[in-house]
Amino acid sequence: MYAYDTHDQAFVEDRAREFRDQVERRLTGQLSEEEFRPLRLQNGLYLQLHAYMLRIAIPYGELNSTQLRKLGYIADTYDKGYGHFTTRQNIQFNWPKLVDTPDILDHLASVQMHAIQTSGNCIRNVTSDPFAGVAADEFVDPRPVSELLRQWSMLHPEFAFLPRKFKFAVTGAAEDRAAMKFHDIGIWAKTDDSGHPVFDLYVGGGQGRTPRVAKPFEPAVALPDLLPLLDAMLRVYNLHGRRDNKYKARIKILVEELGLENYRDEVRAELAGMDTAPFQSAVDEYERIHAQFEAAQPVMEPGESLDLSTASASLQAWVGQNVAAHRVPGWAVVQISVKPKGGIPGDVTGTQMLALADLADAFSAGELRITHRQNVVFPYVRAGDLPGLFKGLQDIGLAEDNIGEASDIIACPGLDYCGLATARSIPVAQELSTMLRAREATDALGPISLNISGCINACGHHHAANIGILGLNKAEKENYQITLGGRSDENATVGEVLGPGFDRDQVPAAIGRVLDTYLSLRSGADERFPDTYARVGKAPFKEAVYVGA
Amino acid sequence: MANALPTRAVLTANDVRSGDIVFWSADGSWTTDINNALISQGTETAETLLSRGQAEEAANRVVGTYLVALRPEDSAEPVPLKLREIRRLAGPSVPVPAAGTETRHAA
Repeated sequence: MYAYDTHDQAFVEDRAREFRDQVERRLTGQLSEEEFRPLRLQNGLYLQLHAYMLRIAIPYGELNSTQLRKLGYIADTYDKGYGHFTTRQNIQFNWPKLVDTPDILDHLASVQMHAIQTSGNCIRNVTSDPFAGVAADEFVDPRPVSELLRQWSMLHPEFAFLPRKFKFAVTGAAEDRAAMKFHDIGIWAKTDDSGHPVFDLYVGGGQGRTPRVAKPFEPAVALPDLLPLLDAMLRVYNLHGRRDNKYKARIKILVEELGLENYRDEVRAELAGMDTAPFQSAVDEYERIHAQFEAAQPVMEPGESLDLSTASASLQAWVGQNVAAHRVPGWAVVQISVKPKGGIPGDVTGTQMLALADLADAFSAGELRITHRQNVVFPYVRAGDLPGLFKGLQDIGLAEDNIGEASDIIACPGLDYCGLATARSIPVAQELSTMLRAREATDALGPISLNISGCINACGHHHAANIGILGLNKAEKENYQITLGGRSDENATVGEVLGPGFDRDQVPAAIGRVLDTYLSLRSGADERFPDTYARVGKAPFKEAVYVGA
Repeated sequence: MANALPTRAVLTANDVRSGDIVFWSADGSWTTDINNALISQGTETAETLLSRGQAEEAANRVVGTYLVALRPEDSAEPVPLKLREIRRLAGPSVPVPAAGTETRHAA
């Protein structure tokens, strides 16, 4: 993975020192909360429903074991013994004290981490394919360009106060595992006829109260042209994006109000007038970053696949469900579910973090990834090591064999933690997980995405799920709306609202009826939920859920 | 238009240093126990509480002061009116483990 150079390291250390001074001035009253608030937010420190919350960046979801060990140490030393992996591949700690945050940032800086730009109206953490560099269906490793974007966007002086937050996702494979089309700008890396990387750009995607699938903006952008074009796209947004209404401030609204063609014309005009000389070093930097990623990859000699004929049923099931194809024969991409039956999606204890770090050292060259589905990936596992890894995961309660199934639920923190939430997500996820694990044992439901958000801001990606659940506050009572037919892959679609919402205790039965309907209507076991929904439409699901209740 | 002041309410905030939820108590200090909170009766005392909150924020002891409206019944026990405040008071639905002592997902 990418390692900081001396400039990167000095920068995060300076930034931590700066924040320590800001906290001291806050505590001695030299800074009011009004003055301090933007400073703490620029360092990822929110004030949530119960306490402060620190959101730490994990660039494109990639971590090494040293970093995870440090996160486990922070969880156990400064928090309440756990952290929460988010849908932006970050980690949040829910209970840090303000007085401790300077020490936490020092600890993070010591392992090349920080919490910068995990809040505020700036370019947020760049997300990417958690299989980057090892996926069997990959055209281009998306990490070098993701890292280039990280460097370009970090404290970019023009883009520190955008009309609203701005999110990039980068993928470089046939299958979009990064929900690229639900981002302000999505980048799909491919190769041209000469084998050079080129980038298809999409713009104006997003979720929240106005969900939109990103529109194609420019195909096959060559590497030297990429940063100037992105800079121009951001400049036009920065100039014309609405600042009078935060609900209409995202680029998706600008693109819609201007029209895609007009927005494109504005960007081209901006680009034509720009001095692009400062971007000329980007290609060399890309090559330097690319070489570093290449050099950091373990040597992977092709080998034999694992013979599971005499393996236990539980190992066979886990390998069948959680292991994905690796680009090198005899190696495995292992997806570790953080969605045990009845568990809390994305929550991992400090103890588990330390154990996962040890397992990553033993079985994945010390490297792991966090996924936007709130799971963990080990990218470099020898097929022959799968039984040992499985045993190690069983020992820490992270061996659930449900990746990609309905019980692999995305859930935001909801009204258990979040100051913006209107209803709880976690207990709904736990109840559904228990119900769904029982059904998955008998019903062969196949891959289904089920995502839960605790408010219209949609951090739980409910719009992008085959089955989405949105928690609302209806006359001071939690109420849950169901959406169907969404998907976040390369055929991204926004789910449709099924009908009136449900009380919390009615949700599992309603979801059960949705699944019954899918099973009865699908053309075969290989017809996936969103395809069945697209074929038959909403009506039979609505009838089953509301009339058949 | 500003929201009307609740007639029965407690003053809440977060402690600046720790972030803990706190309530203004009858003895003129902050408490983490809502049962020890000073309950306003009528808009006049609510206004007094809000003024106290502003002074406490200015003194950098707390952040984000506001009034939590309580159910109007005569019960001495303060019960918030709004769902958000009920959840804020109750804490997370799932028990929070002590640091390093248990597995979050253990069955």
